[in-house]
Amino acid sequence: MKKPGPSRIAQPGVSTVPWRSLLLSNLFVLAISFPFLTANPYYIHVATVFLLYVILSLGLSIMLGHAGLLAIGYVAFFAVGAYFYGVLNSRYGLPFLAAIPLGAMAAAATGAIIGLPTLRVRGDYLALVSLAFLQICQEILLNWVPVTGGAKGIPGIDGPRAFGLTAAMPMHYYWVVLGIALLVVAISTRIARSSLARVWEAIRDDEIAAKACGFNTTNWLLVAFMIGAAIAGVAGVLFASIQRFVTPESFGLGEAILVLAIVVLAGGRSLARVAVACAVLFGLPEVLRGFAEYRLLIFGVLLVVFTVVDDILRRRRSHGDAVPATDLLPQDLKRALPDSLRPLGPPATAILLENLSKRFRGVEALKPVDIRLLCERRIIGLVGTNGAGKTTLFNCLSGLVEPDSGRITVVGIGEISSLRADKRSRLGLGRTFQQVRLFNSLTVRQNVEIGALNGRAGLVLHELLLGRIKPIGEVDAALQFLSLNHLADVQVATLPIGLQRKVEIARALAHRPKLLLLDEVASGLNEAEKKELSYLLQQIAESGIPIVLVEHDVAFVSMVASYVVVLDAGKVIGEGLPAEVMSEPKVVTSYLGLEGGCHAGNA
Amino acid sequence: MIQQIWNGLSIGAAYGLIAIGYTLIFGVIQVIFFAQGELSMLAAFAALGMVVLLSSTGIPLPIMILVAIAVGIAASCAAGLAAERVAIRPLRHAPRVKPLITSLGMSIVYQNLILILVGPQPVAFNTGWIPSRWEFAGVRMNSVEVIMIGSLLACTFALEAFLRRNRYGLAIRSIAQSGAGARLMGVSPERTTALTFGIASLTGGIAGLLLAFYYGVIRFDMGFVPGIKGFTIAILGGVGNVQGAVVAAVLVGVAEALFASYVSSDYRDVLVFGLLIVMLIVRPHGLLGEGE
Repeated sequence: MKKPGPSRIAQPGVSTVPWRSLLLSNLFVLAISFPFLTANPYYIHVATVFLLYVILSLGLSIMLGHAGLLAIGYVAFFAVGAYFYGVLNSRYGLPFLAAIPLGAMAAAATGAIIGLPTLRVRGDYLALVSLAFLQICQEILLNWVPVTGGAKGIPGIDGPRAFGLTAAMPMHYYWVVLGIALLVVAISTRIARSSLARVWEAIRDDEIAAKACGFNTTNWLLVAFMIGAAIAGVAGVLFASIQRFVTPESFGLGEAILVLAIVVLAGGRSLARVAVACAVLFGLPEVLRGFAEYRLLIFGVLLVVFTVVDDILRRRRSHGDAVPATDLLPQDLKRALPDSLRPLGPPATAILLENLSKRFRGVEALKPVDIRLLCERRIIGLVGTNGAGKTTLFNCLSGLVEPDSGRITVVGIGEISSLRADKRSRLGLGRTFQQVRLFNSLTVRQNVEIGALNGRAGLVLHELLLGRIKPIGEVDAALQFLSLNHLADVQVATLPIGLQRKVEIARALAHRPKLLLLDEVASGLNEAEKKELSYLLQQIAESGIPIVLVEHDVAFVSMVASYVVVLDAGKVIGEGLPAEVMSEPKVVTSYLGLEGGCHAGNA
Repeated sequence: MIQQIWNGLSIGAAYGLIAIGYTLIFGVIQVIFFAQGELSMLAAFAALGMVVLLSSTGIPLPIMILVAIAVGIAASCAAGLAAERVAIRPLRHAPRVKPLITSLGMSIVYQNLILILVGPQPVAFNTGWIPSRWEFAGVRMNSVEVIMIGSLLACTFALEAFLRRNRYGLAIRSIAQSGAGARLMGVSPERTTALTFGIASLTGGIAGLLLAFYYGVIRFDMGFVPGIKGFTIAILGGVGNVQGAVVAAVLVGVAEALFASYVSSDYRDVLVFGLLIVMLIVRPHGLLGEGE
């Protein structure tokens, strides 16, 4: 037995090269002592605002870089933080130290208000909804004069003050902002390396697959949105306190585009790139004062050119290093399903579909069907011609398609008709997809880890705080069982189709399902791969996890399935043992179309 | 009251024309094309530029205005097609967030080009044409308002006929329904996308000219707020649904006019965008365009 590998998830960018830490510590000293290097308070102020923009960019990086949420109006949360402190401090004397967490919470709450309704519908609507929200904020700030002071804003805000110390000079402000910036850097680095960020990336890559892995994608994306908003809120409080006043013009479209351009140029991932992009875009107009009016034009051009060029380069790179299929053949077929992958509770014993039906516009994909399947320790094949309703039936089972009528009960799990897909997954339904749906920007191991986390917030939080992924046994076992260990750190997008299908199975097995649904799992595989797969599937079924298999390939079904259901035009036309069913006249007719003459010869 | 409804109908018509562009493009490539409002703005500036050029030549007024309109629409079409070519087509296999970023970039580029060329101050949209005014059943109206409503109706009917009868129109609908399926049937996604951008630029350009005639002044950022409103309308009407967009445009225009005159004109955009968020909560199912 091999011991489980190191339990930390991959950490790109962290190396033990000494020059790197040397550089970092030098930069750190330089950052702290910066105010002593220049006597000009203006430069110190510029450096302070620069740090604020680093904070802002880190917040947007969480939304855009990890979760793929393009919140164009992101600086609205910056405004919320600034006015939160501005109003409450100038009127009621809210202390600075209390305003930092409260401002973060206010911004996060605002984020929830616009994020939740939008994310439920479609993530990319956030782009315009957040822009509309920024416009609303501007209008309120300008017009609600008794509270916001209108265009003149709010003067006389207290500077940073805590523990009896009052910051009064530019260099004090600088240090306060630097301290918070370092804190935000630490938090966002921690998040970027944690499985929380991998979960967001998984949802960004493929929301449907993430649902099938047990993640309530709306809630998880909302968390990203709220964390980003909270960081902007903190930056807002800081901004109001170091400026000592706030006006609406600090939160316009220009600022929104600046932050967005920084994050896009930074590519979303590494902190160093955020800092450099920030320095370039923020410092540029300070240096080239004469070109101030071209600033936004340049940002616009940068957004277009950088995104297009980056995409082309990225595509070229990912074409280069595809894994050759030949040296990856399985070495040894004699593997039993490891104990750590057996379901946590008793596996499913039967599937009952009552009066299930589904229409897509005019097409009746599934006529009302009643199916009862005893599936204990079995592989059940669901076969039928194109358009027979197999995949629709599957999607109804896993919750990705809502049937028009009917009840679905899985004995061992319960009545699941009214549950969302992610809930069904957490209750023990694992599935794969007809067209492979992997999280393409993640590695093989990370894909399986997402499966093992299975949408459980507790596990993700545990890893975030303690740095160790809990269901590590499942991940290793699933990789080993499908003989994928040597590929653990390969990007899934570069794998050939056969291996991608195995990764998908490993990911589904890692939730320790009570029932496994496999959609066209053999298509695109060669004979050797099919043979290995059939062996593995039999192992899975024998160790207690029943499998329902939608399949085109009749020969493959006959090889693995112990029971077959034949669908045709949304109806069941036969069921029983494979050999018997496949010779029934009705089934033969359906497959070969004998009724319609002999035009099926080239099928 | 009826006066406000009339005003709302006319401004709603302009928003509706912008919304049609959003809806069509989103239907075909699933991308929110931000520069929609900027295409309107460009049409207005190009038309005004033409008027300035021609006004000293002594061409008869109606001809000059027609030429200016044609140039304005040509400009918005050129800008729309250029944006498609530069910022959208290279990213057709990229994650959806990328064309979103580049289309925002194009919108910023267009806005700031005009800002640099013309400056931030509003410019009078003075063509020499004075719209006639009259009163009908106690409602004051003018010819621009009638043309606005007429344009929306005409564009909608023309578009519906095009989408249902013409083979290129059918190509647009087929791509919107199933990109892969349409490709298998020999529909070229590139050409269809370009065609869709062309139509969206056309309606956007018309909207910009109408807004310019309506307000009498134009500015580099005049397309921004109508652009967001157009998007709101596209969502309310159900993305991809042209008729829905028309109905929503009327509703939004009238609601905004009534709100501005009876409640507060300072917060009229708050109303519209608040409506957007409420609609997303209340009626998200009509908007779900999922399906594989």
